[in-house]
Amino acid sequence: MEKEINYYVLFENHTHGMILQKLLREGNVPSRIAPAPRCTHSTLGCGIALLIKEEHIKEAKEVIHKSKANFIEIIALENEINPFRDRFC
Amino acid sequence: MANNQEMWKDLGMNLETHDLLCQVLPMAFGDVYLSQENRPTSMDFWDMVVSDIHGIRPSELIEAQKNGQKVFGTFCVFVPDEVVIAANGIVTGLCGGSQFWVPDGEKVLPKSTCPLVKASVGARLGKTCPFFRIADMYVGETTCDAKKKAWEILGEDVPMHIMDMPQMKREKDIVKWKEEIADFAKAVEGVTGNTITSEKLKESIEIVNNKRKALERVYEARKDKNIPISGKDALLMMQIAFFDDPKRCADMANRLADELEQRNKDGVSAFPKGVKRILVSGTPMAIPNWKLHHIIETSGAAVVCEETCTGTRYFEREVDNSKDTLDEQYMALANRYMGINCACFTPNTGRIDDVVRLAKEYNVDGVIDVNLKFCCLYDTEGYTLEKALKEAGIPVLGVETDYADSDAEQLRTRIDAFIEMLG
Repeated sequence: MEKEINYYVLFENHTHGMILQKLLREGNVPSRIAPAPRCTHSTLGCGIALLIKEEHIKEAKEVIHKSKANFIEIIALENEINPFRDRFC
Repeated sequence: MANNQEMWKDLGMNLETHDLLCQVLPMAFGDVYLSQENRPTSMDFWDMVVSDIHGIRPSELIEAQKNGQKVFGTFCVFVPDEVVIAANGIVTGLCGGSQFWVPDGEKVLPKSTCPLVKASVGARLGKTCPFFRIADMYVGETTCDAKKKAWEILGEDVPMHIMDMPQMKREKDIVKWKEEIADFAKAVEGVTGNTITSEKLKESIEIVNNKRKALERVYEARKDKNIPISGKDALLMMQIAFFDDPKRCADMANRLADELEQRNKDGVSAFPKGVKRILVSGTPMAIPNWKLHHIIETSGAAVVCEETCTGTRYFEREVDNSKDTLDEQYMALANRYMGINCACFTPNTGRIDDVVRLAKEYNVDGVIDVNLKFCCLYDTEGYTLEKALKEAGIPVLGVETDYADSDAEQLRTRIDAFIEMLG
């Protein structure tokens, strides 16, 4: 079975992320703030991302395009969230 | 993407080792938090903070230092934030809730030390926690033997002020704590160069009381038969409260409380109907220790209250702010803080009463009393607590754990069985 895809919008800073999240919320597009997945980091550093489910990415892109929101890129990753992995920090 | 490298480099952090922590956070946060459905939207604030936990707040603290403010790192709910704020200082929590920091702590401490103390010392000595690099002074207290000895080791590396915690709650012990607070105020004045006046202290007592009231509002909403928020989310709010600006913390907690109260009116729950309500009591859970809550809440139950230092002990009871002289105000602070029922006191019957009271107020189906490995104070008190709960007809499960993943399966088995037994 194919895994669902999660889209992560990456930002220069958390302020840009919060602005886009507000815009998405105003447009009724669901998104969640998440730590940027590790594989996306080109340099050492933590940071925030917006997690958008596959079914909402089209509308999200429309909001981004219309609002000219600041972001670095959108990447697609297989959904690896697993509440029963029991690996903690 | 946030590039905090320069800041961490300037702080003298070990970037390569710290990067290992940055690698595991996204997966752990995803598994524990993003796997939840129907969360309150106000949790966005805390999601943002934790997503860049070593970036956003540390950079704010550094900016404040550039403007002449001093930062005080604290380890315990007995240290009065009000005194620091009255001198225009800033209080921050410190790292101590991850297995990641434990090995560096074990280089200087016995393995048979609780993980919270080992992780705290390890985070400083391993240079992998920005908060432990930023603070101008570290404030320890004598609430347990492990901490007392750890301060001696930490004190070789950082400026420390130690507050001597009374072991009993007699009138003379409360007066002694007042004197400790007055001594702490002098130390804070020395570091900040600012004089603490009764007017300034009145303002800071108001600020911290408002923060307590806001956090308590969130907990009040958790008493409803509807469960408007998961225990994991409430725990995250509490964990961040130790690090955040107190006014912003109050604003965000009040915003969350507004939402939770509305969710209760509308019957919007974070859990399916019929889940068992659990009170967690015992040792503190410093960020990012989400292990026990996560296991409970993925085993068919919901945590509706924490009787811990990262729970009710942090915000219950306000400081009497009607006093006008510093001497009276220090006494009012001592009265409030000495009302915290920590296992460091003997006798500590107040804590037993608290747990039984909270179990009733939050209408819980059972209590899980948790003890961080090697914390002999809470471990020993578990005997009296469990006896009292059984006498009150409240089911209880005692568990001992640490930050490692290795006992997760065993914990799941025991917690599953306990929840099943609740019927």
